[in-house]
Amino acid sequence: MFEQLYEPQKKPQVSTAMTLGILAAYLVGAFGGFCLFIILGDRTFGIQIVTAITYTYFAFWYVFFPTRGLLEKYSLRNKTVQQQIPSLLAIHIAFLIMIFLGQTIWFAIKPHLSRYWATDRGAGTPYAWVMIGSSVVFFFTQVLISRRILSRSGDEARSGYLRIMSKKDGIIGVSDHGGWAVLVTVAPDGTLLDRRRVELVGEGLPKLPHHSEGQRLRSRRPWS
Amino acid sequence: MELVERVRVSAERHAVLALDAVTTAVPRILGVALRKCPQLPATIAERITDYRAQNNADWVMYRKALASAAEARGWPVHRYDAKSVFGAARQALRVEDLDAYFLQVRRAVGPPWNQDHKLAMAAAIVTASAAVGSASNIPTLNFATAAEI
Repeated sequence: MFEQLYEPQKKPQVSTAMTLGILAAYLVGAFGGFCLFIILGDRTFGIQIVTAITYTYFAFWYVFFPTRGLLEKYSLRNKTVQQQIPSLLAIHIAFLIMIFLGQTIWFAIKPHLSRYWATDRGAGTPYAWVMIGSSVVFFFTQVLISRRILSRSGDEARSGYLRIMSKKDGIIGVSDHGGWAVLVTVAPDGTLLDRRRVELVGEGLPKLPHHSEGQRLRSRRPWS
Repeated sequence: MELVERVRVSAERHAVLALDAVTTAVPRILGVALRKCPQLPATIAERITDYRAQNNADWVMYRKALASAAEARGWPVHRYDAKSVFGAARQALRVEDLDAYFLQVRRAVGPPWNQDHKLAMAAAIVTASAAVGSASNIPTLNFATAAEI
């Protein structure tokens, strides 16, 4: 019979400072992307390069930091997260290649498209909207896949640990004193499994022998 | 010095018996959390002549006895700092008020439940949590009722 005291899952909380920090990062990213676009936009593959840089910047923030609807934060200091970095990088590179190729092909076929695609309908041309829309779809697909990987690895680490450490497994915490100690054994889920006071020295022997011997020496040499 | 040696041998024997006793209740132990040991002079003679070392040497002797007994069984020994372990336990448990948490434990398991039990439990919780890293803090807090312990 176990008594549960706390909810097993807590919704992650995002502090105001973190929200403001992330917002600032997005603004910096948007401004930086705009500047890069001005600088590199006219060069060969300039737009693809700017897209790749901006995409990488925002992907980092969206994958690892909380945002609307995706509140979980994944710290890069966490070992479980670090273990997933190679696969996240591989996914990111795959998406970048797809976007780079998609954009290059889209730019190449532009002269062959009908006038419909180049007609401005008030909020840009269909040609531009297809390119932006597909990039956004790619972006959120990658973010959701990456977050899913991180979330699953965290769950696996938890369940794996619990598999290794069943409820019958325990870790002993010790609070020791002169000649005795309290041992408290706890399961990985916080269950208190055992507690006991144990004697650490036999009867008739001093519990603090160094101290006793030290005092005896001092009494023999009262001048010291 | 002979007395110190006799007590040390006795402590080692009792430490083995103490861990034996725990394994009758919890057969699979994955580690032991012991308090950190201060540095001491190398010899017993130096320890008993130095007042400061004399006071610490007894605690260190018991901790070493428990550590040796644990290591002999192949259990990893973790060291904790008694000053910071409660803060670390609070983080591992994701609770703001550790006293309130321990009060609930005490209500569930009954006496004896004092500062030593709190310290030892905090150390065990922190050690369990550290074993899996911050991604997997202890997910739930359960404890057996007094009848079970």
